[in-house]
Amino acid sequence: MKQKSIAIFALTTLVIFALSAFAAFGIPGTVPGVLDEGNDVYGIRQGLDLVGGSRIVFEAVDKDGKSVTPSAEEMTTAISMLKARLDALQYTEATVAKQGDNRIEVEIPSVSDPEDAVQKLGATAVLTFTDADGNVVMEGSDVKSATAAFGPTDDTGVSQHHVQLVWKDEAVSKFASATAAAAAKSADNKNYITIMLDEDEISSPRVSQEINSSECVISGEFDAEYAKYLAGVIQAGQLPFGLKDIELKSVGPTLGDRVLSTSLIAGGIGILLVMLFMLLYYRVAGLAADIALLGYMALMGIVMAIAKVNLSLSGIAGIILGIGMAVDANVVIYERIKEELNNGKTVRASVDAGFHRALTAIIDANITTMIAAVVLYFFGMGSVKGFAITLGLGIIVSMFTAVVVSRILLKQLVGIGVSNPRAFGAKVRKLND
Amino acid sequence: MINIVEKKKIFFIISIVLIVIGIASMIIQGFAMDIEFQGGINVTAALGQKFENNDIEALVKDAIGITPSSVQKSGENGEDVVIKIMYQGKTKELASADREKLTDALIEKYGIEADAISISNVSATVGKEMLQKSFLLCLITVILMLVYITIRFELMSGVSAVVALIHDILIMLSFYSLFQIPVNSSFVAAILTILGYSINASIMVFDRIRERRRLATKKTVLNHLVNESILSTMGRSINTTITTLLTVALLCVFGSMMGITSLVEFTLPIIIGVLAGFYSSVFIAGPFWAMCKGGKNK
Repeated sequence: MKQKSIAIFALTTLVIFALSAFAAFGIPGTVPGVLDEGNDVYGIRQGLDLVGGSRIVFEAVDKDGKSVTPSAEEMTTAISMLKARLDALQYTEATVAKQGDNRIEVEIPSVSDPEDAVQKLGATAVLTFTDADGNVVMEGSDVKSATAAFGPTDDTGVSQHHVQLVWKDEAVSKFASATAAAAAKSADNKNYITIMLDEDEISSPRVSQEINSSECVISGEFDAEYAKYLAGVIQAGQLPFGLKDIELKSVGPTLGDRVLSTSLIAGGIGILLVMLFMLLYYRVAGLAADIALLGYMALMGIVMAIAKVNLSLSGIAGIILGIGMAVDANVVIYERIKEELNNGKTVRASVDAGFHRALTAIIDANITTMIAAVVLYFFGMGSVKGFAITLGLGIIVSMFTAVVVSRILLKQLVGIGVSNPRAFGAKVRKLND
Repeated sequence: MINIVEKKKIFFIISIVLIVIGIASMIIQGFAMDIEFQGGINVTAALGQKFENNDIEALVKDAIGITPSSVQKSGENGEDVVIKIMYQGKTKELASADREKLTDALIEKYGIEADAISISNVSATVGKEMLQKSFLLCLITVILMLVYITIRFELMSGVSAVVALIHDILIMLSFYSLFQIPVNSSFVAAILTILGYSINASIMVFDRIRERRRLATKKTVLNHLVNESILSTMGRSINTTITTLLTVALLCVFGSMMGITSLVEFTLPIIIGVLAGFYSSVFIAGPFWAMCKGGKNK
């Protein structure tokens, strides 16, 4: 029995140490550590505020590339278009600001290919609808709005990604007469309208009757990402100016040079102090909690790396709260165990009762906090989302390490023969001694 | 044995006084909105040499009397600088006198040409509607929490936990306003952290009350029961507060040692919030519940 407990304790501890080493250093040459320069598959993305990224300045230009000064409203449209595009490209924590009258500065977290990001951000496209003879019947300037959508677009009822166009009021009749004209050519098999984006044909739907509607659908085996991209460039095509990147530079963290290294060092020392506190206050039980906490941090790092979480200062707040809740779960359990010991129960019985009686409170507390994480994740934006992700992941991981792992460890310690209440920091000796 | 429930008036009054002072400050001086919400001045300069962010910060402060909101290294070798300044002038344009002082200071210190410096005004990057939306989200979250606690405990426990929560958030907002800590996008995260922390602490108290009420008889005095519940969670309340504060306080201390203002401004309100969370879970939530129940059990 004793040997078995020692073996399980040693094995669990070893697994946690191995996980910690893996999280910190990865596997040399194969998988990077969680904070190393990650690749696209694995690694915590570090936010603009912590490590910096790229700063791109766009200038409004006309067709010939000469700089122009658009109206304030047009600039606002351009900014919201850029924001939508950044969201589509998953730069949720990027910032966009108007600079002067005709420039827009964008800051994005470090990406492997900033040139590509610039291309995608600044791209505009000219949308044209042409009839079978190549005459332009509708143009980008007729479009009121273009949004990506998912749903059935024809009689088959099969859902697909498509772009929903809404014509400007004055363009509705133009669209109606264009479709009527196309439908009339069914005898020559020329009853189609071709949708072109710049020089590329997107689709050529058949037209069987006049369409007198302000809405129009562009479809054609798009995936979600392409539909979003397409909607974005069509929307941008309405702008009477283009966006030319005039500056692309790397920038340091917005919170200053040393913010990440300082946070890591301070956080590390803080956690060591927490561990020391737990060890001094709860003795042997504190040891189990400390090993579990190490496991929490390792698992959290790995989970965040797999989920490619964008870590910013807000995310650090989520992590702090997560660590707080992980330690809290152990504190709640150990206080219960101490109470049971003070009531004169044996160590073995106290450990069982302590875990059992603390569990409802821990579950209630964690579910309540999880409610916050879920609401903020689904409805929050930017940094709030980052906070919600780290918090939500933290709750799930901490429930596992602080309750399951620390219980396994503590049971083995009891099995090894720790039977003195003092080993748990209990002050009162057993009454039935 | 200390009787927290009997002395509740003292604890309530302390909180009310603090919150009234805070609300007065919010009305009179409001909040200091950071550059993300206000827009400001953007200065970029090619310095052609390595530099310390803190030096630039001091230089700007000396020249025009404003501490910049952020100083970023830029360019491949980090020899360019991007300075963002929240300008409090009547217009958002940098007054020409200040513009001159700033360029002169940069030219003098780094020996660069005037055309290496460009100054422009920038708009806000985050709309104020972000704060409104976040507030709405907090409200939805709190309502859902209230529903959950009502199901798992009972209505008054939920209401009392929410009262304690609002108390903590108000103390934190008071701190932001009183000390004019810039409200930026991390502000929302700080508030949310305390929202989670506070509700967690209250639940621990109500869990004990729930447990003791199951064993209670008709003779049990409710005030006494609540008091015992609070005292039995005291160990947990103190230890969790200490362990949470250890990490946050170290971030704050290191931030101030390294001169990283943003880190200090982020962690200080959280520290206040954690302390308020301790106070409200021990001295407000339980006594408030007992008061609403009017001393009657069940």
